[in-house]
Amino acid sequence: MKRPFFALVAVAASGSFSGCSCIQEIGGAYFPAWLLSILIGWVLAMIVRIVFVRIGLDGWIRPRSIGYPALNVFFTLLIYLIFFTN
Amino acid sequence: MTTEEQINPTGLAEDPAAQHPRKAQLGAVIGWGFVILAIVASVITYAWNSRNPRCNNGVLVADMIGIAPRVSGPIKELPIKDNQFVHKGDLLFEIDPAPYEIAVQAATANLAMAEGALKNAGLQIAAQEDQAKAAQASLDQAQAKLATAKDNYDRIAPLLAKHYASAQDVSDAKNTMQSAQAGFAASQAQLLSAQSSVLSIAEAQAKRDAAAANLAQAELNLKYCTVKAPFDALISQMSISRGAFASEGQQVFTLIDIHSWWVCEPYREGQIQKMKVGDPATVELKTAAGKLFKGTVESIGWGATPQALQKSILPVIPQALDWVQLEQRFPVRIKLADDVPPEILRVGTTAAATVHTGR
Repeated sequence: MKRPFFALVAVAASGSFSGCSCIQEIGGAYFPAWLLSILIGWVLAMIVRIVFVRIGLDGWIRPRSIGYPALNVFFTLLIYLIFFTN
Repeated sequence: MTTEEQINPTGLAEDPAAQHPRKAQLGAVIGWGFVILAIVASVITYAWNSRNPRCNNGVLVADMIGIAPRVSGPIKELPIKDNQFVHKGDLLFEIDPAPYEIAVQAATANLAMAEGALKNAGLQIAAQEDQAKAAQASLDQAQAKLATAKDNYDRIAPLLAKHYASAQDVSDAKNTMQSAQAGFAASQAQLLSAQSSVLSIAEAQAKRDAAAANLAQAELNLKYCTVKAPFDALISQMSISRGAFASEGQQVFTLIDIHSWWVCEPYREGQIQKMKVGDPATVELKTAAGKLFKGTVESIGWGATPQALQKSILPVIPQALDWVQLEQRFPVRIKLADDVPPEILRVGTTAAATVHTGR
């Protein structure tokens, strides 16, 4: 169900990360890099969660309320630091 | 259904951690690991961002001038095209020089006339000076005559008492002396008149100088008919074609100085306090997305008009909730290094910059 959306994000991620800019052009408009980072970070965190659900570990993550949000923050900042700093 | 599930249908509710201690431990390690990773990444990102203030809504700018002719006339030659590159000294356009050539000829003739008049005045003045000299000579002569007549009278007058001279002789000598005196006075008057009638050459000289200045102006106007590039430049916004009438002082196109590229970035005041002139910067131009260019902070703006200071006949009070206030921004000039390929440089290009303060 969510496959097309993931594909779109993946294309945006691979295609438009040319250079280490703090703004990225998508469809004629510039978006701040941190916005994209948040989006991709969220997607990555979701993928990790899906994996954890598959291997039956999802229910055991503690603290539950901030575990995945913290992962989201981590991926966001990782993406930002790797792709958008120079 | 098993017996256990019948007793406890919720399954995990009793004490799942006790049933799967290893899974519970792993889950806690992973969960807290995420939190620690997020904190570490946050600290690193914050440190990087505060050492490298970024701004992404700047523009690429260059020095620009509007080219306007200094004399009016139809454009005779226009060898350049819009958006073309020109070297310093290249011909930009030429205004029909014919009327200005004629003006130079007229001014040359006027100068020759003025020079002739100056020469004539010199001759006339020389003649007048000669007349004055002659008057001086006749004054000298009259003075000598007067002296002789006076001496004669002084000698004869005492002889009358001793009857060595007749009254007639004395009277004659006195008359001669008086006549000589009158002659001397006349000569004096003549000299003054001759001297005062000597004309001054200043007027003719001034007329000559004025004619020379007119000629220089006419030659300058003729020179202004040919307009050349004052620096290596790119032509933009050309609004004229060959044969069109160009008016003095009216802009016909724009020249962009290709040696003066800089990026103007509106940095926030909080970011500015960390940077200083000379800090290295990385600039990305959106005409070459993905490429990074080096630059240097050239200067930091000393002012930007705040909303409340905008000119109006009444005070400008923005209608806003001011418990959230936006940071003031100041323009920061970042000079681009020379190695930027010229084909991507366009005035107005979106530019993102990162200044590396190292602090």
